[in-house]
Amino acid sequence: MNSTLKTIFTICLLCAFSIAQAEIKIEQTVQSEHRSKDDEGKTVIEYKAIDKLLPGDTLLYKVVATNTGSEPAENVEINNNFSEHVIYIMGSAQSSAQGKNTTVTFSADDGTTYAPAGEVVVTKGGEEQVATAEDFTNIKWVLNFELPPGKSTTVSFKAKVK
Amino acid sequence: MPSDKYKTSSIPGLGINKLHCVVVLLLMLFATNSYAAGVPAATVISSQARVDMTISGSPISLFSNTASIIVDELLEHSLNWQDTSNVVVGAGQANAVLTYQLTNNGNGSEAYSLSVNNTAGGDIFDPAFTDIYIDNGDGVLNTASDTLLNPGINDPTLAADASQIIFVRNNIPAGLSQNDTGFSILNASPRTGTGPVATTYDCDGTLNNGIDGGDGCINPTFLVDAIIGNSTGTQSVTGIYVVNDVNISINKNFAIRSPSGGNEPVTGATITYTLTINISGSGSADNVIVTDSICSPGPYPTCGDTSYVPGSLRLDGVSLSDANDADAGNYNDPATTNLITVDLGSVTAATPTYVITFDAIIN
Repeated sequence: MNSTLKTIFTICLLCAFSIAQAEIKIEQTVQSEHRSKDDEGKTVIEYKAIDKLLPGDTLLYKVVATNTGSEPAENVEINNNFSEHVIYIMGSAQSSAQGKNTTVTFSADDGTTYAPAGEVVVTKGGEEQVATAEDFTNIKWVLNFELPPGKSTTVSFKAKVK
Repeated sequence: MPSDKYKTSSIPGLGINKLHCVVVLLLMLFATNSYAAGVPAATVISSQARVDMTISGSPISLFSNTASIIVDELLEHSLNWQDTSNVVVGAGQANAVLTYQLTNNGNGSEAYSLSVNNTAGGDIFDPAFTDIYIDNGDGVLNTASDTLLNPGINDPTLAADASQIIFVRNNIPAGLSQNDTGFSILNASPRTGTGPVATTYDCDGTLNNGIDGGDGCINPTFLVDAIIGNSTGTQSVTGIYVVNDVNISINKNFAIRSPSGGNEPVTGATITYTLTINISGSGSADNVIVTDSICSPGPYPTCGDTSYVPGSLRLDGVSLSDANDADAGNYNDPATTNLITVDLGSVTAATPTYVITFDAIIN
């Protein structure tokens, strides 16, 4: 095992230790969008495990956070970075916390600052302007409620492969 | 069945597995280019979520597994005939050139098979295929510097978004008539394969002969498949020849008149040059311009040994001024060229012969 792999393995062990302490399980999945026509000619949209992936395909990212411990989790914030190879699809951010207050904000500076979509500002050509989906680097959900023991929350967004 | 290209954590309890730690590091090391065809094939798209929270008053940050997916190769290309109009040829002409442009509109490097079909019909004659040359980048056929195609051996390989000029040469049969047309169809197919849209060539984990596009496997490590796009694998484009049945020949003679009245080439003798242009056939030729140099090789090749006699230029016996003006001829324009120039314009066999004369004196 070379030194690089040793370092990575050590980092990964630390990840496992932290997860065990927090008793929170976090899982991210990604599926691709498939469109077809039903017998009545209506478009049917399904999200399936990715078999083939080409530029222009739509992806559905999901993050499930489950409190497997005995204490409620408070001030929960879920942050997901956008790969440079995808573009966030505006308006696609979702949260499973029906009826509860969840705030979605975006960053165009790799997570340093966040603001609602339409209020993120970037500087291009020396001029400030409202960021577009192509400028977004991160998305963050702020759960304005506790996540009780044994409960999960799911957030999701869609992105298109450049 | 989903392939292995969608990979998440494989070690229970660990947010990141070893492979993806390496992948993430690699992505940080290499900047990527932007392609019109989209993200390059074999690109790994990775994403990782972070959750921050407070439990029992203590802030905690955790990371999810890294979800990594790999982009497949889109097989998409286009082929266009580049000649701006039908290529004018003469009956019996050898190696008449047609020019095409092949473009890889896909997102991965691909080799292309090229072939020519001259017997598809719809035309008057079938050109006889000679060869195909791969341009060296200057857009002009040069058989010394361009690459002669050896099918299956040196098929052109194009990077994503790249274009390549292709030259096809055919021989034109003899015995054709004015405006006869001949079609020559160039076919270009990705080496990976052809088929209806979405046809998939699965990567078997090995490259075929080490050639990109040799099979459905642009990257055996990540099992990147190749998928047929809207071009359905094969592009066929017709280039057209049209016969212009016109033959032009030119013959040059001279006569010497010495000061003594003889025909000796002595100082002061006058040489009368006669250029005879003969037109035959049923076609026409445009912008026919005849030039001749006073210094041109001949009985007195050294420039300066003879001098043009001003005002001696004639076309079919009619005097032409030396200036570049309304009439068809001129001398020494631009200056220092020592050229006589006669613009015959469009010619047909209706006027089968033109005679140009001019004088030069031996210095």
